[in-house]
Amino acid sequence: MTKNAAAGFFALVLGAAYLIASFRLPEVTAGDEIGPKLFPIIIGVIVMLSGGALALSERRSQQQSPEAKKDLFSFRFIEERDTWVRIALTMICGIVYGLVLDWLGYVIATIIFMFFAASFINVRRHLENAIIAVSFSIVSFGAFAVLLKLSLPRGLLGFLPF
Amino acid sequence: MDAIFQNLTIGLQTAMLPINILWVFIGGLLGTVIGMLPGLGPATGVAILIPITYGMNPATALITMCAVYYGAMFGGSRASIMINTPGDSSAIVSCFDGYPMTKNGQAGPALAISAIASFIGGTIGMVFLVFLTQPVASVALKFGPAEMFSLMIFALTATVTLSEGSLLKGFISMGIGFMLATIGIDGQSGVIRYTFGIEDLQDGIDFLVVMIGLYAVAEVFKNYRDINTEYKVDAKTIGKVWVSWADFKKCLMPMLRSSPLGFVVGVLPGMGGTIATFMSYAMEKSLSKHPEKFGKGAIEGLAAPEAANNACSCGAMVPLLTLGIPGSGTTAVMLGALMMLGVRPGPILFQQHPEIAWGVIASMIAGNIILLIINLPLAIPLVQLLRIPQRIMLPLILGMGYMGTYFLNYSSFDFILVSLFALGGYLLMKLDIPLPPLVLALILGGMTEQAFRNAMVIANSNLLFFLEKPISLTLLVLACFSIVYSLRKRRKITEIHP
Amino acid sequence: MRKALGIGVLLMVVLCGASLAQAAWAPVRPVEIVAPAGPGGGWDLLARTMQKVLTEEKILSVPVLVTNKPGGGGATGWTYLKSKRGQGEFLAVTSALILQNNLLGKSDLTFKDFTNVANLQTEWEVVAVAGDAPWKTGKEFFEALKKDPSTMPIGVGPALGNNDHVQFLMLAKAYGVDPTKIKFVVYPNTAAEQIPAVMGGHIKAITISMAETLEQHKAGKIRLIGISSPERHPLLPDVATWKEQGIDHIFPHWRGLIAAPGITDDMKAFWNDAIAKMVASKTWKESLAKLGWDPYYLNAADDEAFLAKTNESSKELFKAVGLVK
Repeated sequence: MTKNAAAGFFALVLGAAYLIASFRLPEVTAGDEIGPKLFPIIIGVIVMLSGGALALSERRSQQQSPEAKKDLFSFRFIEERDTWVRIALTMICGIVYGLVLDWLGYVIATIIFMFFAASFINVRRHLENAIIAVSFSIVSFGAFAVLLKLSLPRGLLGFLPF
Repeated sequence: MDAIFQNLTIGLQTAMLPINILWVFIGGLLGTVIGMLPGLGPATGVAILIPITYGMNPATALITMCAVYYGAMFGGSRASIMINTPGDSSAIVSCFDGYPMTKNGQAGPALAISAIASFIGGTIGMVFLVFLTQPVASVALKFGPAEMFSLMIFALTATVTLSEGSLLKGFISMGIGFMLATIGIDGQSGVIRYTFGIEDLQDGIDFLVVMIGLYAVAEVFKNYRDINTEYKVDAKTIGKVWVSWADFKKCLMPMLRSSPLGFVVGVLPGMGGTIATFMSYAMEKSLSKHPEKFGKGAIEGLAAPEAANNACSCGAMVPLLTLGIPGSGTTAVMLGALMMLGVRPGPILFQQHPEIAWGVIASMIAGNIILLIINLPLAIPLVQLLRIPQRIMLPLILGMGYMGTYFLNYSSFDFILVSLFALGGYLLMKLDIPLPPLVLALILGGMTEQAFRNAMVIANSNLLFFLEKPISLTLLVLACFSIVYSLRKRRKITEIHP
Repeated sequence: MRKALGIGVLLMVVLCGASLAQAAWAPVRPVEIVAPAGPGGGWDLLARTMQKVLTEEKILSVPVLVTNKPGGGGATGWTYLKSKRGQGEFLAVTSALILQNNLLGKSDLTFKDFTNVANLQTEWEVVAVAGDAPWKTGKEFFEALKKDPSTMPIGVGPALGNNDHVQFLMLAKAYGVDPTKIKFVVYPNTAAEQIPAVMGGHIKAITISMAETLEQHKAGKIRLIGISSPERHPLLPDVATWKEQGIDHIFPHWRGLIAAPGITDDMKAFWNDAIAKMVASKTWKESLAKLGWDPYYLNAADDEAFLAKTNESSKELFKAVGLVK
């Protein structure tokens, strides 16, 4: 499958899912006569039409010149395995960071997040990564929360008097 | 005319007080630094100042806050150019050509031209502010929902110009942007849309959260592929923070055209620097003889939005100073801060306290010069940061991206969104779907729908309403022209570069 | 003499005991005031004003922090406060939205989920028309609205169901206008768009809080046809109250203070005293005046009763105007 065809199918699926969700919205015309559904339905249709047209036009051009297969789509899960593993780990870290931020507080959560994130990139240099993590966390907290009085969550360190 | 110069003289007397000059310098520097950091924009910068300005004389307080505002406009694009991370929403467009310039080894000229363009835009905006404040303010009043909707449609036609490659992919990208914009509570009906029961999504998704995910974090993901190769940095090109005469000439007309555009957009209620920068970028790309170079490091593609952006921040001061109405998020915070000092900007301010109103305007002239002087030398140490190896730079970019995200809405939930959008951005790149139309639609989506529905409430659902109003009609006709023009231009380019 | 001394000692012991009892709890770590909105809005300004007064007047010996938690019409910030159960150092700013969100089904939180501390200040609501509009009084305006609601769009923001919207519905009802016939145009950016829209004639009137309209009214760009305060407001001596115009409509747009749920009686007593001291201070009064706000202090017990009463009356009103079924 070429990139264009893949993009076309992606748009078809996305547009269809969005349209279904749009039709299931409640019909409310108390605020205005148009209601909350019309605009989303138009968007869903545009995306599906564009996706369909893209996929079709790609098929036609392929039939005309079957040798033009250079722009193939692939996730390259195997060739770029390291990249995908790093991406997955970074995402998990980012999500966990968000989940524990309010509880642990900015300083601790950031040190942990930065240490892990750095470790995926800067493999096996633990000391260097620990220095990056601790200094980033403390410097940014000091600058923004202490000096500039912006609100950053304190969490477990809520007793700090500044 | 004489009255204007008389007022300007009064203003200059206030502005040139050493204490005020000092605060313009401090405010400008603070604004530049805050603007540079992703997520921290001028609104946060002004909020930081609230406790500092408590004891100040109102004129000094307002002068300082304005300095932070346009300082942030100068600084906003630094991170866009260096690490593909917009410092604030109006610096998004600066990523399009600024970051490719850095990749081409032109970080120095990019930083220099952005400071120079900011200065030129700011200066032109200032001149407009001095001479056109009153007439322009009345134009802003003519913009009702119908005019707003038509303006949005006009702005959205930029999608055609912004789509690299297939036009259909541009439409898909625009559609995704609109989809994201509809998430959250619908103000008109109170219906909650597409939140899947997640309360944190009720207010919708902040488009800067999407931006930090799609651009900054996804850029880190892209770098994972060649993580062990270090940036090949040529010490000579990187150290030179200056613009060649040839480059400057290329940028001159774009800057001169974009400044008035930015100013006018800034005056309109509810519009802002983001829209001004997109419109100026699309305009320059469609006027350019080499539109295919845009997005690959065209220097005028960086200079034009920078000029528009700074002119826009001058424009945003018009409704604040003349009507007491905040035209942007930043001026809203400014209004709040001024109220804590007991000053209420508005029509009466110009009559009763000309030294404050005009003092601020005059200080902006000095401020622009000071900021140029701050920003040009600042670029020299900044470009040196590019020497930091990838393996240390990437974690820092991640850290700054997430921290900046927190400051957007003080919400840890946004961390989850940023992570997901980063993956989304990576996948869209794999599919060759261009990002700019998505961003444009995401920014304009909510406003477009609201303006359309408001207009229909007023006109009792009569669609002809958009054609009956002269300004609205003009904008719609312009939108048609813009589509036809850019389609023809596209065809020409594909003929030359198939 | 000895007896007098004895009484004196006794008195001192009693007094010390009393003050000791009072100081049974005091915050030991920084106090966090949650503003359930971003910087610059009404909630944020109130939280920052409190921060300033509590520190400058030395009512608290620990640092005071303002935490911004915008989202969900306040719900995000209040949910955060709810999670701090039993911790006396956490406070949040609140307003009628905490009642209205719940009544409209937007949020599960109610005022009963928290410890009420006090009501602090209020703004008053106005209805404004363009400076050159034909309507001079509430009666003239609402008569016109009654006659042809389809040509009279009304601006409200940032969303339906807030105080601005509610007060207009109440007035319409009082003047005999069918509230379901009124066309509301929603402006998500509130004052920033509403005021130019009414000045430019795109909408016929706006319903909004007083402070946002002062300058435009003084300059004659817009005209306020009525204010929801019990008496004429000192900043707006030329604007008639609804009461003067024969409508029984007194409508405060108040903001108050809540603490985390499940805190001890000692903590409640501490905050009740601290806030009483704060509102009595000169700095507090001056700060409010600068913001164009009026004091509207109710202590914990009175506030509790006030909230319960307001909740009931809002519920009835929402039913009457069709916002809830």
